Amino acid sequence: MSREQPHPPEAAEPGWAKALPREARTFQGNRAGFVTRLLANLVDVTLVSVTVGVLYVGWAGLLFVLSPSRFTFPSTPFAGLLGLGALVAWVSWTVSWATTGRTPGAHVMGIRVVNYHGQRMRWQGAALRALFCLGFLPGLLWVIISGENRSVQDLVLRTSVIYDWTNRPPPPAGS
Amino acid sequence: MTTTDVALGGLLAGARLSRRVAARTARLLGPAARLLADPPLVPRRLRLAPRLDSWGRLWQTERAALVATGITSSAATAERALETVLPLVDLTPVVQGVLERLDLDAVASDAVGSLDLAPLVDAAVSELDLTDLVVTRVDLGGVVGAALDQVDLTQVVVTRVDLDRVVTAALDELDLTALVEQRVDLAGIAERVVDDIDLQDIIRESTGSMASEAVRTVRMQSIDADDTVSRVADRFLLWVRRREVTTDAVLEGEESPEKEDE
Repeated sequence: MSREQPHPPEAAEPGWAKALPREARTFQGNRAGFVTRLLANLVDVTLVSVTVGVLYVGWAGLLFVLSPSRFTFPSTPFAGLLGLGALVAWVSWTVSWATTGRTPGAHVMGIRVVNYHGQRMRWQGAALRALFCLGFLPGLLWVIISGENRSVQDLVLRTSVIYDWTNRPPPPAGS
Repeated sequence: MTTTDVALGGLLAGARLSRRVAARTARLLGPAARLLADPPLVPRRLRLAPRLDSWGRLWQTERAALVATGITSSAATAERALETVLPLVDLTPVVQGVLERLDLDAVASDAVGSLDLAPLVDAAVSELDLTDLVVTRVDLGGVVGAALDQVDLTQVVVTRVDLDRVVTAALDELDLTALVEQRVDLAGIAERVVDDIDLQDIIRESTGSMASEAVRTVRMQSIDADDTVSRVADRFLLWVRRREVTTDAVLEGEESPEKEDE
């Protein structure tokens, strides 16, 4: 059992493929596997964490500027930070998937989220998927088990995460 | 032997006899005749010899003119006679008879052999304007057409002409760059090529998506890892007969894959 290589031969390659490394061309458009998606998610989570950290430091700096004499680092409950991180992640992922189809981590790893027509997701779909991903992180594991490299979220929302190293945004939904 | 032969033989014999008689008579009577013609002691004007001498000189002086006159008048007479006779005679059978008896080939070859033709031909050619003659008298179009019909000109050129040299010489004389610049719409061609290969797209992709060699390496390694994980997983998952990773993603220029989700 092996991965399908469904793409046309090199002679029929479109113009955009010529800009890609030869070894990467055959994968373009295929659903991405577990490792790539996990790495992309790790990058995204790291970025969200950094963002939360920056927000925390910024909040502390604001407090310091307002009353330097009584300044102490704000004691924020872990759940609060987690909630903030979830909010940042939800907003950024929604915007990313509904516009370019790729979060910063997906950009680094060269993957993109598309709907069941291979098009860019609608805003509500992107928001729902971001919520689903945050609420059920283990859903990604289904990529390993799935016969189609799809997470639970992909199955439910009928989306796909594909290898796409180009900068070309996918066509908008309904086009 | 005919009667004519006998008669003519008799005349000849008579003539010879007369000559002998005359010669002998002259020998016998010569001295007496000379004495009579030029007698001594007779005044010169009464002698016969000077008169004879003057007659002889007169003949010598007038002989050439008289002969010429005689020939001319004879020719004129002959011409008139011919003009009178020729209309009365049917010359054709005569000439035919002559021609039948003549070996014209031998005569012609003898004549040609005895002639030095080269100077004759040279003289004739120098007198003639051969070019003008050919141009006015010859159907040059017909001649050239017939010649071309019989010749495979392409084959002749291919085998007989050093095409390399011809082309090289032509190229040496041409300023190809200037020619191309003048005659070819380079801007149009360049524009069409750029349109065909979608250059802007390639530049955008090559400068944008390929962030760095490191990123490319990480991506390829992760794709390999994906593959490995999939294969290991598929080995344990009996219901996965063949992992289907194609999608509905429609990348530009790519055929639309199956829509397995619908």
